[in-house]
Formats: sequence, C-alpha cells, structure tokens
Amino acid sequence: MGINYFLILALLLFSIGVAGVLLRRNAIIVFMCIELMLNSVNLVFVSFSSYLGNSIGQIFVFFIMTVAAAEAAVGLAIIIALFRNKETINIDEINILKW
Amino acid sequence: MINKADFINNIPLLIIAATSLLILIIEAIFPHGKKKIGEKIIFYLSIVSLIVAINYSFPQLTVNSLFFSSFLRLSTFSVVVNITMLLGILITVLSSKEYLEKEGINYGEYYSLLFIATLGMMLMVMAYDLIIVFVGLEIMSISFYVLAGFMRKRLESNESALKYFLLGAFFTGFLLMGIALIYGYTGSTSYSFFTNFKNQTEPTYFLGIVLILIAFIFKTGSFPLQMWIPDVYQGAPTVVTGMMSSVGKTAAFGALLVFFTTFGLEKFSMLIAILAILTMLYGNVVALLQTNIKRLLAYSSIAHAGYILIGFILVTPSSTHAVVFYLVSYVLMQLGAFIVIGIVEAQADTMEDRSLSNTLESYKGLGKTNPGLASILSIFLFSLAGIPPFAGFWGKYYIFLSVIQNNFIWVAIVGILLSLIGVYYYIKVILFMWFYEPVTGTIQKSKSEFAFTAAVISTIGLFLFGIYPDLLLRYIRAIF
Repeated sequence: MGINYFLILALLLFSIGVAGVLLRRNAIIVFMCIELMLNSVNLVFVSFSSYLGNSIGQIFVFFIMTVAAAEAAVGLAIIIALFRNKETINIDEINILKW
Repeated sequence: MINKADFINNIPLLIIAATSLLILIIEAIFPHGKKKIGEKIIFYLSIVSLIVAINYSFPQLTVNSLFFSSFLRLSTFSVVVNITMLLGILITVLSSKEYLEKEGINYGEYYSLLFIATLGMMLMVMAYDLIIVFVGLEIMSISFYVLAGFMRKRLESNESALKYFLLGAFFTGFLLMGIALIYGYTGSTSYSFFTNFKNQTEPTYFLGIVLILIAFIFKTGSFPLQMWIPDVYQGAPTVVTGMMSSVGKTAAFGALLVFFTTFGLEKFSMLIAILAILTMLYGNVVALLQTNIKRLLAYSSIAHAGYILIGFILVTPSSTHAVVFYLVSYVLMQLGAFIVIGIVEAQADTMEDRSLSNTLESYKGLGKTNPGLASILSIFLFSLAGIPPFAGFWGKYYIFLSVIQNNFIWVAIVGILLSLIGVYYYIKVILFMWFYEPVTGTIQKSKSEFAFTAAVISTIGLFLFGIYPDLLLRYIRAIF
C-alpha cells in the first residue's frame, strides 16, 4: 500500500480534530479533539518512518505520547478545579475575563 | 555517544533540573506548620541554585559546540539568552515569596514548577533538533498551565489556566504536524541536516515550516494569534504573569531565532514585516482602552512582541544583536512592572480588594501614599515607552536601526509612529500616580522587602544598560 492512504487518513483525523476544537463547546470534548490531532500526527510519523525506513519518526511518537499523557493529567486537573468553582465546563459560559 | 564533556558543559541545566526535584523532596519532608522551616529552605535554596547556575553559565560564553549526540547546541547566543532567563527567574523567585504568602498559595510546588519551566525554556533555546524544541516547549508550556491556575480557589485563575491550556495544546498539534511534514520530506529532525534544504519550495516542506511558524506566532503572542494573551495574563497570579510575559516570551523568541537562522526564511520577510506592524498596531491601540493595569500591560506586551518581530524580518548579525538586547531590557522592565503590581496587590487584605487593586483607578495617588513604589513603577513604564536614558530606549533604537540597514525603512517609520501611541497609555498611568489625589482608604505600608529588592535590581539593570549599553553589547556582539 502506498503512503498516501495513511497520510490522507491522518490529515482527515487532523481536520476532524481541528473542526471539533473550533465547533464544540464542552471543554472535555475540545480536549479529546486535541488528543485526536496529536494521534493523527503520530500516524503521520509512523507512516513516514516506515516509508523512509528510519526510526526517528517512531522515537518521536514515544515523545508525543509521553507529552500527551502529561498534558492530559494537567488539563483534566485544570478542568476539575474550574468545575469546583463554577459548576460548568461549557467554554461559552467561562467568560469573566474580557475587555 | 554521551561523554563527560556533555555533563560538564551543561552544569546549569543539571543544577536547574536537580533543584526542581530537590524542592519537591524538601516539601514532602517538612510539613506546613507555624515555623515554616521548609518554606524558608526552599526559598533560599532556589536563590542559591539560580545564582550558582548563572555563575556556571558565564564561562560558557565562548563555547560553541554540540552536545548529547548533537541534540543540544551551546553557542554565545544560547548562553546569553539562558543567562537572561535565569536572571529573570531569580528576580521572579525573589518577588514571589510575599505575594504567595498573602494569597495563601505558598507551596513548594510553585518553585519546583518554576524550575521545571526554566529547564524547558533553556532546552528550547539550546535545541539543535526538532525533538528537543518540542520537548522543551512542552515542558515550559505544561508548567505554565499549572502556574497560571495556581490560585485554584479563584475563578479568574482557573479560567486563565483553562484558556491557556486548551489553546496551547491546540497549537501544539500544529507544531507537531509541521515537524512531521518536515521529517517526512527531509528524513531527519536534526538542525544540522536542514542546511541542505534551504530555499526548498516543495509543498510538503513549505507547509511544515508554515505550521511550525503558526505555533511560534501563537507562543510569542503575535498578531493573528494574540487573543489568549490578555485573558491569560489578567487571570494568572501576578508574579506568574510577570514571568510568563517576560521570560516565557524570551524563550519563545530565542527558539524562533534559531529556527529562522537554520531554515533561512528570507522569503517570509514581507509576511513577517506585515505581521510585526499589525501586532504593534493591535497592542498599542487596544491598550489605550484598558482600565485594568494587568490587562494594559498584557496588551503592551503584544506591542513589544511586534517590536521584537521587526528583528526577524531579515535575520542578520545586527538584527540578532538588536533582538537579544531588546529581550534583555524587556525582561527587566516587564518583569519589574509586574513585580510592582504584585506588591500593590499584596497590600490589600481581602480577596475582593486584591482584585480591585488592579484597576487603574486604584493607582491614583500612589505617588503620595507610597512614593518609593510609584517612582520605581514610573521608571519601568518610561523604559517600556522607550524614553532615554533607560535600556528600553536602546532596545528600540537598535531594532529600528537594524531594520533600516536592511532596507525596510517603511517598517521603521510605522514602528516609531506606533510606539508614540504607546507612550500615551504609559504616561497615563504615571499621571494617575503622581497628579491625582489618592482614592479613599489609606494604604498601609507593605512588608514586601524581597519583592522590593527584586524591583530595585531590575531598575539598576535598566539604568546601567541604559546609560552604558556597551556593558551588555560587549557580550552580545560576540554572537556570530
């Protein structure tokens, strides 16, 4: 199979992630869409790595997974801290900071 | 292969990393009690380790080589920027103690996170491989997300952390996609490899560079992606805001400069020029309308990002020197201004009063109730406005000089006109402080000695580099 199939799949996933971040209003779902973007990048790295026959891409994937895990821990903690103060995670209602 | 020289030459990095872990251990051993032994140990340990790290950095100013299997690169540029950032963190640590105690968030984790963020920032500037750029950026950003939300009982802080986190993670995705595409085209992530690919116009490669640029434009808070800056900077604890807006931006601009020199992005110069002008325009004009001083300085920091971006139009030795000089003076004055705001904030006793103390109204008559603080803040604001004899003036002077030498005279003219608009809102704050009667309620003397010392150190730096810029230029001219 050619590399193009994998790249098209990854770009589709990336676009779904971007669209989700821009359109959805629930903080958790926005965060899941960001994770989807990161995973589509993983797919690009792995397919390029296999195509080029060098291992840098696969090593990079491990870094991305580690960072994504750390980000998930911090992000969910921030969402919980916010939910304790204001019983909502709808990002349209989180609007005390403006002009 | 990793050998002894790798470790010997990167002692500052190791000190910072070790201190961040040591602080966590000390925090676990000494419980929070009345005696506050643990807090004192952590505070003084942070200061000592930062001073030692700065001390070990100076001999490396002449080193120029690759370390850790060419993942890190020590050059005069990276060492100068690292020293600037370490100095900024030292000033931040000094200014944090009383503010944190007042807010009731004086946990050791704050200092630990500060050190982890420093480690990430130093890695970003020293990076010689896109993996390290990514890892450093994320170490910095994730620490910043936590620090921005450190006052977890306050809604503003939570909100700023959430906004910063969601947007920061979103643009991390773009950065990674950019790196992935560049990797797919070149087959490597090492900077040493990319010099063969300068001026390629292959779509994959080009799109990769554009995506990485988007991520950097977000991190530096430049025009199309600046919307997060005011919200995040207003909601975060004031000491953290000062650190993020000065030291954090220095790291982002330092990494961006290395990125520019590696990839040779001359074909983007017109785009960068337009972005720089729009950034200055947006920051300066919107700052005119602000009534909250933290938000005003947030918009002014957008304007300053625009001035620094001018140095990226064509990356030549003279523009690099100008950018580094600007960054040093910017760290001192921006951090100093936020320290003073933090001191004023820490004078109020209740949480509501502390929120209120950030309005411009409450700065009326500060010159009468607290002349020392008001005069120091005036110096920082004069320097931010670019009025001689402070270092901020020379920063702007060298930036505009370098862009004129590169034949972008119109950028310099527009930039100077826009910086004149900027003078208005800085002077407005100064007028409020000195020529208005204090609002009701006497402000009691604060006991923020450490923070005051930190502000005085920044002032001395601004005076010194303002009256005698060669003191700093001597080191900066060694770059290239």
